[in-house]
Amino acid sequence: MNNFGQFLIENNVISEVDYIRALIKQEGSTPSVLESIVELNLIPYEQLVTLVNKSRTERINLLSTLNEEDSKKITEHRIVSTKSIAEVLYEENLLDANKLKEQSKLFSEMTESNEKPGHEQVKDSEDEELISSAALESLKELQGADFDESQFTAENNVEESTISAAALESLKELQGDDFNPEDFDLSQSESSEKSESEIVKDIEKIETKEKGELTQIYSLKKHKKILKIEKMIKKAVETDQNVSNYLNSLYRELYVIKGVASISNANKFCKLVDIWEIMIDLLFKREEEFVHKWAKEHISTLGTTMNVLWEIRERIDAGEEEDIIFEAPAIKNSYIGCIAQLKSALNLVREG
Amino acid sequence: MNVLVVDDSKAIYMMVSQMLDEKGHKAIWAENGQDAIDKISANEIDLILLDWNMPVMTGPEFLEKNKNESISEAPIVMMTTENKPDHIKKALSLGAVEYIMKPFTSDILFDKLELVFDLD
Repeated sequence: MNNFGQFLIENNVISEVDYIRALIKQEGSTPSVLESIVELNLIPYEQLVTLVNKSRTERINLLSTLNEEDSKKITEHRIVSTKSIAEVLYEENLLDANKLKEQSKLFSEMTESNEKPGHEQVKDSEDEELISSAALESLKELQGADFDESQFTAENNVEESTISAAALESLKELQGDDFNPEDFDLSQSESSEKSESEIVKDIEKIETKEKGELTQIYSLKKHKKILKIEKMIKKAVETDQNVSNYLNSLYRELYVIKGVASISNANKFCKLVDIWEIMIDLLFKREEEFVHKWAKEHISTLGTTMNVLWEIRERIDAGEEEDIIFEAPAIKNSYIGCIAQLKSALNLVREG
Repeated sequence: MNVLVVDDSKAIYMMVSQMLDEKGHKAIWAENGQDAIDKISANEIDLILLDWNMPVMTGPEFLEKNKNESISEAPIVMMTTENKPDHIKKALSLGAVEYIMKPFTSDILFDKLELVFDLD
């Protein structure tokens, strides 16, 4: 096994839901190709504008407009900049520092015990190959549908070996080998994560036992209920009632549909709900006055989100795969527009 | 509608009781989870408002017992003093259908009931 997340799941340390949540966060920490070009100061702005236009006009990935050397630098930069899964699990309070340290040690011991003693030369090359495949897996996880595996396969051995060597350290980190909890502020660690993980497992059992399908759990009734909560929040804003007391109902409903969406592998659907979950979690920690102000400006984003989620749900119900659904420009644009609105709402919570 | 208010604070019971009474509902008081079991066996209950922290048997302990022993089929609304994601998730996993933060107004209580009973 070369995947720390899989190791944690198999040892019942985290649930699949927690792992997916961590992967979403991890994905968010990866700079885009455009960001990476700018951060590395790789291409003059004028030339960059030309390349961006070319990629948009010809509908090709920006990375493929670059020369081989720059492309490698960007890929390495993105890998190195990406947070480790262990770091994300800690930051999201999904695992406390002591548990991470203990599991990291166990994982290291397990991977070490799988190595063949007395074959150092062989071991090195095996490690390199192992890390290369782990890199591919990590990139697939990070880039999802946009991942172009052909860039890293045996047809391009030079590129693969470069990635393996340059990103060795960060990939080890991605796998949890080098995770050092001392790097974090341990004073903030709490001991409630394990019980939360157990709770999520309970919910998974409930959802799968009851119906199991996204389209059944996220029914028209559930959809209308969430829209009703939005209406109640709007009314609370107008009448100066306590808005936070409706956010708990919203959190509950979204948590249920996110749980079943993650089981159904509806990743993009899940991502939208996850942003709401994070946002409400942050709002729970804010004063009512702020929550009021936030709701006044941004609660209509809930309606936008629910429309997008319902559209995805309807298409999934019609038998379409999520990746295919997002090939349709209309839904893709609605989704991007919704993410932009959510980003603005989230920024206010973070900065306000 | 008969509403069982499970809370060790009599002040909370009185407040909720008044709100329910104004809309023609009847409130029955239980001081803790164990007392709630006794009240359920003696009354027909349509809804349970359940506090989180109580002596003798806490809200989550009652929910767990109810989940295992099917003490009541009435929908349960969890009452707490703060919004905590892990409490919401735990209440959900143990079978509570709604969550309300104390103190609350009559408008909020009846909005929650509208969500519970799917009223238009």
